[in-house]
Amino acid sequence: MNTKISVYFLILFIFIAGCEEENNNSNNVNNVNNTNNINNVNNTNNNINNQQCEKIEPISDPTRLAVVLTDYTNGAVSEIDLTAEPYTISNDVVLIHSDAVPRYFGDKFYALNRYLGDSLTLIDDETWEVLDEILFVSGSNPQDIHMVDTCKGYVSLYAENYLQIIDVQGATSIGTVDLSAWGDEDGSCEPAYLTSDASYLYVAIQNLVDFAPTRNGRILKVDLATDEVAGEIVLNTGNPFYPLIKVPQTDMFVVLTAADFSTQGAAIETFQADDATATLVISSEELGGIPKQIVFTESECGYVLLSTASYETGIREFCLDGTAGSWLMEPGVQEPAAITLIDDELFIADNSSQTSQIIIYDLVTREFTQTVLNTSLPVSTTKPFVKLP
Amino acid sequence: MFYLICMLSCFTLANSAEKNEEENEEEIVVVGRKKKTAKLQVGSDNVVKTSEVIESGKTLSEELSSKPGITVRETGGIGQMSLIQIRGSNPSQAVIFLDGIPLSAGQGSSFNLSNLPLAGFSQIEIYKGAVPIEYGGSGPGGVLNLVPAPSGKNTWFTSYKLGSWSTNRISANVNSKSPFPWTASLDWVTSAGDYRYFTNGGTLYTQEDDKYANRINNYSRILRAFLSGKYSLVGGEIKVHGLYTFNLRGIPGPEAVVTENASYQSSRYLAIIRYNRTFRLFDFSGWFYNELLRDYYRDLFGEIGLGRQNDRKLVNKSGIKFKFRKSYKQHQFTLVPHFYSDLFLVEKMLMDLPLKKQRRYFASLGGQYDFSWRKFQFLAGYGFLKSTYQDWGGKGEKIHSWFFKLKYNLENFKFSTSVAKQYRLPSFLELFGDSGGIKGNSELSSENSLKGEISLSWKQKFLPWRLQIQGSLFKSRIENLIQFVPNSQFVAIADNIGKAGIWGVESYIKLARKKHFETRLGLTWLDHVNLSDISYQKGNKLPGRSDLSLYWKIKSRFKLGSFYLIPAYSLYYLQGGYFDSSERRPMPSKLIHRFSLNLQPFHRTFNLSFHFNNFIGKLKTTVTQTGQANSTSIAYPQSVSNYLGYPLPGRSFFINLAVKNFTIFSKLAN
Repeated sequence: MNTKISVYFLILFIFIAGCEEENNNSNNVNNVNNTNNINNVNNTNNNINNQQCEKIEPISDPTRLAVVLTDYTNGAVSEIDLTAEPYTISNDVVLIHSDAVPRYFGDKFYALNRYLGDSLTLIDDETWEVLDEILFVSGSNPQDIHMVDTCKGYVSLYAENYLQIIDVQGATSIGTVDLSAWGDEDGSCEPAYLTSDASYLYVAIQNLVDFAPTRNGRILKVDLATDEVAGEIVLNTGNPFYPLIKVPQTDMFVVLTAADFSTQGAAIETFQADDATATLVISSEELGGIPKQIVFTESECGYVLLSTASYETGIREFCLDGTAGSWLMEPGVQEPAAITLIDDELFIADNSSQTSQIIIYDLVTREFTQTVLNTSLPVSTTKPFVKLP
Repeated sequence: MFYLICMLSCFTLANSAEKNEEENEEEIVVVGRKKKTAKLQVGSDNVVKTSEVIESGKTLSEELSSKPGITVRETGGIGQMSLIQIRGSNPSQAVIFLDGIPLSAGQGSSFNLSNLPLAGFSQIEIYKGAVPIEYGGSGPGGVLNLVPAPSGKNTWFTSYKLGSWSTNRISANVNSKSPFPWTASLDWVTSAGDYRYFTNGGTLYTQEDDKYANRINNYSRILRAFLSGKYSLVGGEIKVHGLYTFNLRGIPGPEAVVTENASYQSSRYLAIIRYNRTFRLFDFSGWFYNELLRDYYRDLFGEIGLGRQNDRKLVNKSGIKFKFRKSYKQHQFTLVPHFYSDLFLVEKMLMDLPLKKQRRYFASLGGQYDFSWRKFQFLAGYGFLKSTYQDWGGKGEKIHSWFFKLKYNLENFKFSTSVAKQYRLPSFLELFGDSGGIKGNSELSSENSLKGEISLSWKQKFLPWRLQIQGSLFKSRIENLIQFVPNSQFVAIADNIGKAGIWGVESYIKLARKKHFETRLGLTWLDHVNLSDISYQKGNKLPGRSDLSLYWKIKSRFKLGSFYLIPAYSLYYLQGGYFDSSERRPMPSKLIHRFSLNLQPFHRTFNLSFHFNNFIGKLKTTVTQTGQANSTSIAYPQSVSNYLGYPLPGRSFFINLAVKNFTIFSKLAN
């Protein structure tokens, strides 16, 4: 008995003696001089003149399509090769945050990591190698990034009342745009999606309290020369919740609002730079759901992805003259999550519970093609498609 | 050095172990009356002796984790969420009862074990398989029943615990027999919860921002008070129980989100009046109860999730329950009607909105037949529940539950097998959501499970040694599983989309030599499969379950002058499983060592104990995130956690002093 107890304690002692010392494993515990940390306002570097900053050209003839996948615990990017039919998909070419907004600006792929990510991942779109990660304020919940050239970009931070201006090449902050004048009862104006023209950056202001808009939405115009708010365009409805889209061959932008997500009071609206008030094109009641994404197949007509009160999704035709056409996919039949247009083909992400796939609708034959691209995770619902050169 | 001294002391004292200690048999748990009644328990591992937990200074989570088939997963720190998983089930599928009355989990569906009182109760009974019909057919995961303890003796007890993270705990309990048997207890716990943790800054690819920091806004203040008494009245006996619990805790942010102000406050008031009487034809028990839960969640700065929240929620549950039991020779019939209502009120104080009110009514009737013949016992039960929903468009339900159980008892050997169908009602959170990202679904139906088990138990004395071995094979299938379907920005909506299949083996071996030495080994192996139709989840393992869990404890008792010195070491090991449903984030293995040393005099009037928990204290682990079929993967450091983003503490040290029945105080108490 005593021998056994002795052996037991001897084993215990050896075990304790071999215990890992936590502090020895400390990884840069005290490294607060992190050059990637743009939270450090002292790190601000306005001098980006010496860098090679190039103008961002739109991609006219994409050869690849990146698509962001997520189950909201894991995130990944898949790549569709568009050079030969039938198209093929390479799943999980890079793993990213589970709530990321993808963008492509000029020379690299951007994954803006939203809630709990609070960072920007820069990725080589050829090799899918991660080049850099840039941190934002903890809990700031970045929503969108818009680069005006390959160096300078604007990031909207949902939990902050300012836009962060960043220099991507130097991974530093180069300033902010104050939006505090648009804060509502909860003090936050919820800046979300961004887009620009030659003169202005357009910022969608949601003004939500408890997921409900406190007033009509706003589109703020930020002067790209001065980085100051130069005016606002008042929307007719509340909560511009989805990405801003430019109408092809016009100076017009489309904004999609969600109101309180109940399918009442949401709309498609349009605006131009000089407008004081946006134009309401069609309401969610007329559309049969909240408009989430649109693509233009003609100058002023296209398809809109809608979400109903019971969270079912469908796709139907619409025009900017305020007409809603026939349904391409009725709500509740399948679960379209996102759409994008490549030439005459409409790529539709279908997240029906039994499948996660991308199907293709041929606008010429007006039939679905035989191509089915299976994804390893569901396609993100937040503008997941990015065209690549 | 501390251990070294302890161990050397142990070596020295080993020879002086007491020779004539009386043998202490395992107590047999009798569920119900003292008459010959059927018992659904198998083995003493299904009982937690609450007084032992309090006196030794352990937490309930630590004690439950030592039971085979049970895993307790915590979000970190004393008073924070502590959730029980029984045989791989969801925490929401375990139901807690107090003297046969179900405790509400409040707005949510899972009961936080941190709020469970211990003082004032004799024991907690654990039902993992079939459940007696008097507990209804709910609890597809299992049932815990707290048994109040007005002992009818004049005793008292108090303890004080202090230790890591500025933790203080004061417990006191008084039992008295005059003017009628009653017990009163109080338990007060405070903790700053400011332990060290590792954070990768939320970035997977960048390690420059990785760091260790102190957890902030992780404090807790817990008060648990319990009063119970029984009194002979009108030929019967009336029992009254009153429970009050209060928990105020900070809510630290998940992952790299650091919060400073968000808090959650919950309080519970419960009153139960029970009347027992034996009539000529049958035995009768009747309960009347009212339970009030107040939740107050404040995130005034929008630190967690989308938007700010300042919400008060109230759940008021009232009910009346009866039990009629008739015994005739070896037959016994039990009938349990139960009627209760749930009222849910939400007050959103950030907005000038009217109170949101929802109410649902339940009526249930359960019957159980028990038959004993020689060494055999057969039990069968059936329950029917009808729910009616008011104030919202949700559908009421008609739910059936049943069980069969067969037992064979020899002197040293026991065999039992059972099959049961049980259900779980959707919670208010699942039905109506919250002000943040949780979206409710008022069309939800109940979850239901079909489960079966075969258990064997064998006890043998090889004087002075005692050996106990038991094992269970269990299997369950859960349909209509309610899952929160996640969306961007932490928005999620509840839906009945899940199906799951679980089977496993649990075993338990205990070897003891009177009170001088005891070792216990518990082992649970689980096979858990997601059977839903969701393509990227189908066939995968269920998230948050380990494949293998192992618990080993060794304890000795030595004589030191007029004191007993009781060193104990325990090891807890978890292996396998995934954090997520897509099998892309494997859970690293977890190994936790605990060492404790108890010092108590022969007359046992006090117990001084030292606890050194998780003394390896690992804070950081390397996790691998994979793509489809491992096409791509990243390995990166992450905090040790049960739930992603909620780091667990490393090593901790606590001292506990328990004093009981000291003569001078006993006289005062009398």
